[in-house]
Amino acid sequence: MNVQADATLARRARGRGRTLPSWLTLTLGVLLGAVLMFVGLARAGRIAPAPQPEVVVSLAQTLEVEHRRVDLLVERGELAGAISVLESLRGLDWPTREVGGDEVVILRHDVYGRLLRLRLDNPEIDAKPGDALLATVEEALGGDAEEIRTNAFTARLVAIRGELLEKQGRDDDALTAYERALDMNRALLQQAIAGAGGAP
Amino acid sequence: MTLGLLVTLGLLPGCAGKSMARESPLANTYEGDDILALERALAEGEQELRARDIHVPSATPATSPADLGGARDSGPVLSEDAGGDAIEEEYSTPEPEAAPATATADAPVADEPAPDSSDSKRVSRRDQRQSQAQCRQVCDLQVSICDLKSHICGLAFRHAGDPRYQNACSRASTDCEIATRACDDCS
Repeated sequence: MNVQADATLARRARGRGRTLPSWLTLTLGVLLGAVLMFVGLARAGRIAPAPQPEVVVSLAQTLEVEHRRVDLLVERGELAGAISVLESLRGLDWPTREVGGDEVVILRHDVYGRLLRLRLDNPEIDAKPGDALLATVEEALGGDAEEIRTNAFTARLVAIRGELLEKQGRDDDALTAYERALDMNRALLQQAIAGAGGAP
Repeated sequence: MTLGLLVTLGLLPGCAGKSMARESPLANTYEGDDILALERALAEGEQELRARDIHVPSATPATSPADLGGARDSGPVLSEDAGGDAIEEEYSTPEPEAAPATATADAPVADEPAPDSSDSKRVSRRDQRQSQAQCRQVCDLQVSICDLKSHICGLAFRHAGDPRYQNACSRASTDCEIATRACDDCS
């Protein structure tokens, strides 16, 4: 009987020393492991995959050919054809910024900017209402224009947006767009001056 | 013990991913870097190798956004044009030595030009082209900035009493003056 009492006491003492039930310890362990795995994967760029340069190169090569086609059409005065080529590029399966990085967004802005510039300079060709052109600008800028690095193509697109807003009589919005484009160009100029240095 | 195992499992993918990222030559160079800097780094690496008598075969540079811009009817031109051209010359200049990099004592070296003088000429030509390209970029930006100034001051004319428009016009005018001076200075 003493042995049994001692065993019971020992069991109770062990129970008092245990802080967490086993199922809780296991759950916390799993959670901690999952969090650490997530952090590790995120830091390794696995959660948000790094941009794929081959996607950029492939897209750039495709667009270079198309831009040259547009160059030739413009030289020959076939502006409708040039606009048509650029319009067809809107239907491209544009890679996202997550896949191709800032470069693919900049390439997209270049194409759209060129298209809209041609349309604005030649409104009689395949005339489109201002709202439709504005919608094209918004389509081009997308949701990531603010996130990419400052560049001349985005600045041009933003300035074109200002022009379209001005044509619609939305002067305040137009001024905002112009100022934004100016800020970008100013930043680019500062970089360029710093780089040009003692140019001949 | 279970906890320790889970911790280890959690850390392993991160470490593996990092090492893979380190091994990939493009991951480090591409991240936030522009194509011109990449080409410069490649050219400098090539020079170093040639200086050590390691022969680097010619290669065709990959087309990149940096090479776009050429004959456009209007719009901005990337300043990396000169860099791309310079790199094209780097790659297209025929190397006098035909032996590959791994050739050893049998490789002919007698007719090999002195690496320093030709390399330095190439570097100075490349630098000159880069300066010209950067100046072109400055002048392209001057056109864009002064065009914006026209638009903004046109709006300010219609909103004569609005300080926001007047201030914007004043700022744009200053920017246009600075850009014009910068373009004149480097041209």
